[in-house]
Amino acid sequence: MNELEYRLNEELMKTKKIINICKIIAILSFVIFIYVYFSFMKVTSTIVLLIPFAIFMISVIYMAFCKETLMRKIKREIIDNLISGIFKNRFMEYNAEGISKKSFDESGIYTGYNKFYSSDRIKSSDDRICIANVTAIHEEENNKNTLFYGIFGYMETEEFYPNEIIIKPDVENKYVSNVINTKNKIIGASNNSVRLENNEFERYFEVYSKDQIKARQVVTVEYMENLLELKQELNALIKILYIGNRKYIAIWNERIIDEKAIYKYGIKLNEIEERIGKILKLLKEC
Amino acid sequence: MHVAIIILVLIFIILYNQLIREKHQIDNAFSTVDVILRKRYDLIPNLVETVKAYSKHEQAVYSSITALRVQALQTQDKDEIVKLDKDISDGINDILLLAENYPELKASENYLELQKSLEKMENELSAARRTYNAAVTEYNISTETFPTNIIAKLFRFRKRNLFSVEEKIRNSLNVDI
Repeated sequence: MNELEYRLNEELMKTKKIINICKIIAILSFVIFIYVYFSFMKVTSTIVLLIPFAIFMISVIYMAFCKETLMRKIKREIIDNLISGIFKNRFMEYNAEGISKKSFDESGIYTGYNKFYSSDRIKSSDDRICIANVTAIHEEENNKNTLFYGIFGYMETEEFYPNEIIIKPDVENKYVSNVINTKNKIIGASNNSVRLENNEFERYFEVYSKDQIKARQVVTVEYMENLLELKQELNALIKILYIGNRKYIAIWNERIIDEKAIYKYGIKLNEIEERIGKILKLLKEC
Repeated sequence: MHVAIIILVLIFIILYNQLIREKHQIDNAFSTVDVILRKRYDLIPNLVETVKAYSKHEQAVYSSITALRVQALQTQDKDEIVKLDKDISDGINDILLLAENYPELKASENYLELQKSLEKMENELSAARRTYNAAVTEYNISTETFPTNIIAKLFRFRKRNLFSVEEKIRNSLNVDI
């Protein structure tokens, strides 16, 4: 365990203690509030009732504030450490606010959302490479559909892609896929699907492009093997899109820094560094 | 009875059209392969001349690939082109391996340029071959499985050959582009 990890874990433990005390105070004040309310309903004044309620509220707000402040500090220090570590050759910037909706819109990787949230953006100063946490939701009156929750990233490519090349997880039922393919065969319609030789890859991914040759220039035999390996290592759904001079990735259910895991199990810098390294590998090599 | 006949005719038309579509897909993919192959043939004289300037006593290798190139440029037969592609790839690979013995050649600007062009072309060619093979595989499956095999036999849709070139050249080229 290095010095930074030790120090941050110490701070985490201290904050956890404070939060636990706040929790006890909040529970006690809530119990007192309920007890006072039901036992002395007729005799007590509003002020007597308000005291435990105010203590309860202050404890809850303080808990949230402590956690938020600590997490911001931890994230900032971890990312600063990562920037000087794995991003050695590139000048990277961290922004807790995330990426703009416009940047996500431009990619077109997910469309049809009306709520957008983003946090923890790591971006190179020349804007050639960027990753951030993103949540895109489509919400109607009684219907909430999460279109994307995970890490979104982009990278400038040397090659120009005039037509979209989409590599997306094969989440459809194989039976449904076969029915659609047969229907397309009968009516002679093309869904721009690119059939590939690697059966294992075909099991997990679908590739679509109007330009079959360009798609195969990108999705080579080695590429398929690399992507399968990374998919298994990250254990996540991955979508990749090539368009223009950019390559976009979306990794489902991943976070640049998983706050819940940090709070629960403590900070393991090696694990975080390894995970972010894999995400960058996915962006650079696949 | 009439309905059954209409259904049978419809099925017949659908299956026949499917085979025609797959055949056109193969032709389309093949024409792309052919274009890239011809671009590659154009590189051969330059490659031979460049390597020859440093290693004159490997005449057999140069003559062999030059003859194959001429043969490939003259033929129109697809199966012949597929076969010649393999032989030419082996020939190019032999020249690249030969060049390994001459550090001065490897460092020359002309050779480096050629290597880059060849690498780019090999990547394109590999993708085009794979596209062609995917189309041929789909077509071959149709010609061999029921009920399309009946139509295939009736209208003489014959089985096509796949490109089976090993990626030797790409392995011999170790430049970053």
